Amino acid sequence: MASQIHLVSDFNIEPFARLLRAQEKAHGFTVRAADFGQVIPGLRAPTEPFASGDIVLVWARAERIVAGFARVLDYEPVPEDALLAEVDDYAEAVLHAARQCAMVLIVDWTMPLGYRGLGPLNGRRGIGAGAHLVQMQAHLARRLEGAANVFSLSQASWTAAVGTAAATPKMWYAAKVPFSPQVFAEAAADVRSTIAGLRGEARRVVVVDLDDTMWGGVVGETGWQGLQLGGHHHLGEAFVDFQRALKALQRRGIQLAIASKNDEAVAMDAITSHPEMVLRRDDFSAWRISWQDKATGIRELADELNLGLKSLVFLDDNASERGRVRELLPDVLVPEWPADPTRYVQALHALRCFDVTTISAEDASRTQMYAQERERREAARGAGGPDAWLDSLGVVVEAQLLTADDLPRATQLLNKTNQLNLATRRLSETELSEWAAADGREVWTFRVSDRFGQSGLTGLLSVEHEGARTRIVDYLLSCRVMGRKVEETMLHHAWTRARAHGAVELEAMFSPTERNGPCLQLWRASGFAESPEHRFAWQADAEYLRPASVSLEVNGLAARDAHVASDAHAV
Amino acid sequence: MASYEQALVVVQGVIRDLNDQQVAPVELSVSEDAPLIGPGGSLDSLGLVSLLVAVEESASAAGWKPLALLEDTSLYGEGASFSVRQVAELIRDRTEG
Repeated sequence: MASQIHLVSDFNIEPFARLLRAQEKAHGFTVRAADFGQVIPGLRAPTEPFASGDIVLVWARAERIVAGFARVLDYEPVPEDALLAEVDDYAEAVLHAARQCAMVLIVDWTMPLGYRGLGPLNGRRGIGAGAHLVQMQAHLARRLEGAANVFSLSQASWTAAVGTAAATPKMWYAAKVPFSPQVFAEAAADVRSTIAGLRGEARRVVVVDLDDTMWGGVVGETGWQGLQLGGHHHLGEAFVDFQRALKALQRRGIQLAIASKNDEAVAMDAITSHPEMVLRRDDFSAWRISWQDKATGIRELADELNLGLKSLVFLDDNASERGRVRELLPDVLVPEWPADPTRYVQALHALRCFDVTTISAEDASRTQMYAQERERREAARGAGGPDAWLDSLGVVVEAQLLTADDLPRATQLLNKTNQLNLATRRLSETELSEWAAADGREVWTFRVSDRFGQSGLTGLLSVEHEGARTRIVDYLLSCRVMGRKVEETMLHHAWTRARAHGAVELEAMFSPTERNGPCLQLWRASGFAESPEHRFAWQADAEYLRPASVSLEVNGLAARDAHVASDAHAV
Repeated sequence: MASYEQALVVVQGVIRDLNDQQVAPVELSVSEDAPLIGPGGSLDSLGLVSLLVAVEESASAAGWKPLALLEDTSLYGEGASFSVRQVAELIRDRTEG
């Protein structure tokens, strides 16, 4: 049976359910709306039990879920402790649900639409409803902070986007529907983007044009001194703010790249020399600044970054450039872009394609890792061939059994990796943790470093031992470390685990997707025997050699294998 | 007051919105003879309330005489039956004077 989205609410949520049902093909879930008004019972003992792959969306307004808060709105004095005790009950119910399903989405609390309360005293603690609500929201967040599969959605952003059309009182009194269809449409868009993020479908790179997109004017005509950027001009300020917004994206792990028709030296001079540039050379993971077609440049950027085109967003002020890229590269997201630069930040913030359910240390340092990768490529050009280059890198792979600390990053990797991914299983932290805890199963994480720096936790291997056979269930590696013999090192490690359990055969089943063709190529070059249905097998009495250029540490200790391969299995 | 043509534009606009919102299990037709309420219509009670409230809101936005369709039980009582044309005519008649 398909996984479900369970809608639990204090109001008639059927209009929202219908919208989500109409989008079932896109998000892949069937949608079920529980009877409204039974929020806590609906979370603790749902009529239809939650399954481990399900999503529970709770949309309960503060004044309906916390009875004391309704009294506060009626200007009755209610002690804060009493309100927080009710919040505790709600938090417990949410946590109970979270243990049963893949993910709980909570719609955060806002003041009732149009409520002014005590006006200037609304924010005074102990008196104002606004102050009480802030305390309740903060208390709820503290109670839920340890639950990795509970996330919040912002009702405030939906109603703000819709403005005065956010509600029609008559729909509340006639049908118990407190929000307008436009609010539900905003909410549905956030649910879709959250699910996409969970599945690793979030976009990872913003490719941005330069002239009249990153700065005002044409640098080739005016030089950087003539550009509109910063200064005492409203458009100059708008371009600076747009760069700040891009920089903020980069800090959370979204890569920045440039596709611009310009002379590279002139454009780079502007990026380096203009005193008001927020983004500098090192902020970009890659660039194509030339007179070639932008679609060609964008395709090359994707290749250089080892990412599929579905990972890219392209921003350009020029409608014909946008149209051409849309036509030639339909997998690249090319949003409509405002003509007015003062709306650029708003347009960027409106994009939901970057939503993810976790941000790791690896995300924050990704640009630095790509800069290291550029250095590696330059070193490769100067080396005396691929083997000499690999030997010179000093690659160290650290294998470690999955720990609680690494669970968020391991889950993120599992859900984001597309190209080098054997099974493309998508699991929540809870599901991965439960899977790993079962008898006969192991989940290993791999950290990779070399003389250019750390690449962080970039590989994951899970195996299942069944009698004389060990099965590789998950085998995935970030594209950032591909081609450094880490691939074979992970297979070597899988072999050592099979041997440790007395297996005579090590097998793997490849599950094809639209994007994991590179993984199939890897397995076909791995030395494993392929049989129909993409089954790969290795007879475990033969050692699967570790590449000589790679040092392997297992749970903090140097691997004790005696044999290494100088050129085995050219993966 | 609204002419029939103006009222029809409002009703058809509301129907298109309802289709976008997936209010009905099948796409509602905007043709004048299409049944909306009663036999052949595919609106359930929630869809009907949504339709009537949206028509009221649109009429108000157009600056016409306020409509109170939801208060008129003849529109959704037992045996009620209205096509797109009939709803447009109703709006024209109710916004007169």
